[in-house]
Amino acid sequence: MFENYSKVVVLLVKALQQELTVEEEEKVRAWREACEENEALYAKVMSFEFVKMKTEQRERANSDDAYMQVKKRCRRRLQVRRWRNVSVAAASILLFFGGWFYSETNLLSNFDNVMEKDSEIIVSGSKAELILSGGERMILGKGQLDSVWMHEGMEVHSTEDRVSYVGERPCGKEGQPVELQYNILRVPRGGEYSVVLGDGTLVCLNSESELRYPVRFDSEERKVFLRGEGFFEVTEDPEHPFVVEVENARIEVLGTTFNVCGYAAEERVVTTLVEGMVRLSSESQSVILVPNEQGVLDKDGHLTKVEVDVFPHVAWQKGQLVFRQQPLERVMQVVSRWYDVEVVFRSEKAKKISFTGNMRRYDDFEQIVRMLEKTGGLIFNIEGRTIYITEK
Amino acid sequence: MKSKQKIREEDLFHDLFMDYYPSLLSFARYYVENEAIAEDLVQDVFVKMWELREQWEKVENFSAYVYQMVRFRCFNYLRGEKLRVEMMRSYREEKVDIMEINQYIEEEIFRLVNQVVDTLPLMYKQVITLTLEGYRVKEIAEKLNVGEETVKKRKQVAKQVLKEKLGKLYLFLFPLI
Repeated sequence: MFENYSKVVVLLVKALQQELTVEEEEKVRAWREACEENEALYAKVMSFEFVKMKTEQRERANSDDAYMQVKKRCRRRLQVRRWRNVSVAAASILLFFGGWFYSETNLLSNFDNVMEKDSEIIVSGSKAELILSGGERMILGKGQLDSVWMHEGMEVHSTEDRVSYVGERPCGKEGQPVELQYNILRVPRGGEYSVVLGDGTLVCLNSESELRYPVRFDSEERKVFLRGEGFFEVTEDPEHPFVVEVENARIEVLGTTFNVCGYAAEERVVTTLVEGMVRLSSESQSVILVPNEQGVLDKDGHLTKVEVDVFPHVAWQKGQLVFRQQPLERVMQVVSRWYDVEVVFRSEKAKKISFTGNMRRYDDFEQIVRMLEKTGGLIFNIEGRTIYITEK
Repeated sequence: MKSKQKIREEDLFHDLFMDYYPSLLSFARYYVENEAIAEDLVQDVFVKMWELREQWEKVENFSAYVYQMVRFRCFNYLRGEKLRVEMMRSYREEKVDIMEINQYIEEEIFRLVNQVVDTLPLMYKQVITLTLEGYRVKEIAEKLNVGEETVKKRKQVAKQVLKEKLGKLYLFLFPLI
């Protein structure tokens, strides 16, 4: 984006030096005439006040202090990193217990248990695979350099936890409608990643989820295709409704925040509305959802709606797993996706046990298991990446 | 013991920082009103740059790159703080506004001009900078704790050097001196 304007910078510096060639003068004139804003900038830069104003600004910046600050922070981050690598066990103290656990739990004995075990399943955090319209694949996430590149006329910017699409709007020109080009963002088991779409809509994808979306939204509907779970913050644009298609459901929104959970394995699509309004439709039915309502579409096309506490449904997006009287089977489904482990129930009864609690997603897996064991009467055995659940 | 490689990296980083920091800060203030937060955000970008210093050479246009990083950092901050409504007032993340581009152009023009001023030895630079800020000879003398004659002399030398380096730009930009 800005690189296209480096030339203008050079031309204007030359203009200040009164060293423009005839050809360059023509270019500057064309740039000035392109729009009012350019003319205004030209006048500003060419004025005597400009240097004075900028000099003052520069002096106020206090670069020396800022530099020391940055150096300090660089060192601190290095130390934090080292510490993290060495002390996995110590980190377990940071585990967040819900209040109902906290009062009865003996932290120390818990701690010893962890020390004995050597199997170590750690959540890998933000990572994803981006498949461009040409089929090219890129790995995004932790340890990758922030980067900016052009793709289908959009600027794409990636950081450790997010990829953003940015279009240009130089001097009021509108782009020509073209055939939609799709990208796919795929988050594996154990991962988590976000995307800011071309219209400014933010989508956080949970583990084992996938979003297919046009690089630029040039048609009437802004339509994307979801598999798995996503948290949406949709940019308002009444003229271009935003539509999410997931399994057998269609969710139509105008500017709102909501969560969609539609893992194929769970055989239902659950839409939880935080803000705004959405219409959830199956082939034959549709319901309107308002905040704190949840619409559920099962695999047979039955549509129901209930009022819910939104928090447990959107907490994953803030790095927490929150369960409120959930059957263990459902809890283990979530845990297995996030930690990329297999779960084997050796007792049917165990599946039905109700579980309530909060966990931090980035905790050591051992801690999560110890916490689950507190539901009582169950033994969790970890072998490699498989967990066996049996009754005592 | 620091290796030579490490010292070179640190020197380069220091120079880049001093060159760009004030301009980037001013640029960040276009998005984020609070000065202290803008400082933090720009510093975040530099911390990240230091960590990824082996990869600098991959970046083609460093100036454009680093402004883009600051821009995204600001947007991410505003988003995180739920200040998006505020942010939507004048610009949208998904569209690079002409005003943003012109902000970039403005900062870069002055950065380039300033590079020339920066090549002056410190004692001359101080005098020029203070003059540009509107201080009189007497005030500068007090601030720097030197005689008024010294200030005048330094100013003269500095003007001579700038005249050579800036060519006609000098006449235009520094009628204040």
